[in-house]
Amino acid sequence: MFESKTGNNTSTMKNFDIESYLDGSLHGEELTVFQQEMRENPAFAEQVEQQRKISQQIRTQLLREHVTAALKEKPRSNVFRSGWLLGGALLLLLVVYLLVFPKAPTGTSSPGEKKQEILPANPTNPTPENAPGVPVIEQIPTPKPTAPIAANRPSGSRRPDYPAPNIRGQQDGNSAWQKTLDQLWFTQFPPQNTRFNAPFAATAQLLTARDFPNAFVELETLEMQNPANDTLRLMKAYCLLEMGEGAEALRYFDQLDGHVSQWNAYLEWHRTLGLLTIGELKKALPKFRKMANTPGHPFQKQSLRALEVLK
Amino acid sequence: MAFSFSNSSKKEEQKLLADKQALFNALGRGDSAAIRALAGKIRYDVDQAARYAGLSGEDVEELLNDAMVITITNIQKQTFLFSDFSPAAYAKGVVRKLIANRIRTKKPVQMVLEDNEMVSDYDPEDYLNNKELEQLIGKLLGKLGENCQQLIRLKYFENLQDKEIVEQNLTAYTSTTSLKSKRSQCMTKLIEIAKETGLFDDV
Repeated sequence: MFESKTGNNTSTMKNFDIESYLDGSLHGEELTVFQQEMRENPAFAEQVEQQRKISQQIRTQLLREHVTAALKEKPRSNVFRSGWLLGGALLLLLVVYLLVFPKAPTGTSSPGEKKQEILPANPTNPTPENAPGVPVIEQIPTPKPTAPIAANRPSGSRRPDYPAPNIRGQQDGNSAWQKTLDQLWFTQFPPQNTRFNAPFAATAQLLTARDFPNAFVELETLEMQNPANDTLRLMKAYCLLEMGEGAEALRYFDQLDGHVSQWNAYLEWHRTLGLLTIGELKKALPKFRKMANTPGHPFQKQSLRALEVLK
Repeated sequence: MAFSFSNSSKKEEQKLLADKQALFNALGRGDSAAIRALAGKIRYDVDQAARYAGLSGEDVEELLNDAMVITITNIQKQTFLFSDFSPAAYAKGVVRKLIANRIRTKKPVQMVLEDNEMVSDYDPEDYLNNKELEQLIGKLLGKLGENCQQLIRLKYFENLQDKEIVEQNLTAYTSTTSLKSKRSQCMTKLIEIAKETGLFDDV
């Protein structure tokens, strides 16, 4: 149909579909005519043979290039893992630094040297609230020196240790929005009074260690075995949220609605964060207000902070 | 059958290695994770055998690459069946033959790879003879326009049916007839360039 050279005599030129012949998809009369043409027309037969060889050579060469590229490519988890290792090392250095230099005397630091660095991502940090001109959101009681070292702190007094995940989209406003999220981002894992037994214990450890890529792989495997499990849904929702997959996280959070009452407040807060990651500020604000106005809500302080940041 | 080029995880590779049938099937699809998994599994042995044969590190990479190409091609052509060997044993057998060929002796290398059964009916001679020609064809393909390269790649590498290509809007062509017609022109052009370069002298 597309190849037409059937010899030197152009007056007898016919159209033949060499590709279909080589694919083995010519049948019946079409095939008979094609084969007859090959027998009677050596030039055409040569053309068919050339196309057969070249198509085979192309196949092998493209496969070779694919193999070369695949062997050069690094597996994804290694990249993530090295990233996490680097992050872990930096975190460790930071902890060591903070232990060695817990508080530099105010008089020794040059003006503006430290305060600006500490300001943004800490909703419960008293420094910005006590600074002149900055409205006080809430007075955080200073821990008494006699308090037991291992006592459980209420979740509301925990400080956000990590920035928000990288949020996709938002185009030009992405960077500013990301900074805003960094200032109010606070997540918690595991939820208070929640323990994870087999088969979730190992994955819970990965989540606690913030190894989200590997936790996600484990969760995918667990989900294949037990798709309708609330514990799994909670873990996956949290994992997705921390990976910046807000919409997917919300889907999992939604499946948990009203299932486990002790998680209600936890879900409320984290779902609201999920809304922020997908840019649903209008939906998130009333939820923050509700939590902020609920006395004793474990995320009340964080909600107040979020409202202040989002003003 | 479309080739997969996902940026897979190490975990995925480990899973494939644990299931030989899955590895075999994935290799047949040209799956990147499967290629890396198999290469990783045989790399040490290949390295040892190559060193024993006096070959360099670059040779090891080329041997690995060739072994992968041959193994995948033979799975696709069904000249290597899963019931015969495990993919790793087959690939090691191929490497042994490639090394033997390289040191210009048919005597197999008797060292690290000796515990593998011979891939008795496979001769890498044709593969090695065609390799240079194929690489030249690859370069000539690069001289065609982007459109032609795409059309040829979709058919001869991704192994997609024309109907799939049109339905998935992978090209600008909205009918299989126009798609086929253009690809035919591209192939004719490629053959012409190959003839001009003298590549068909040996055909």
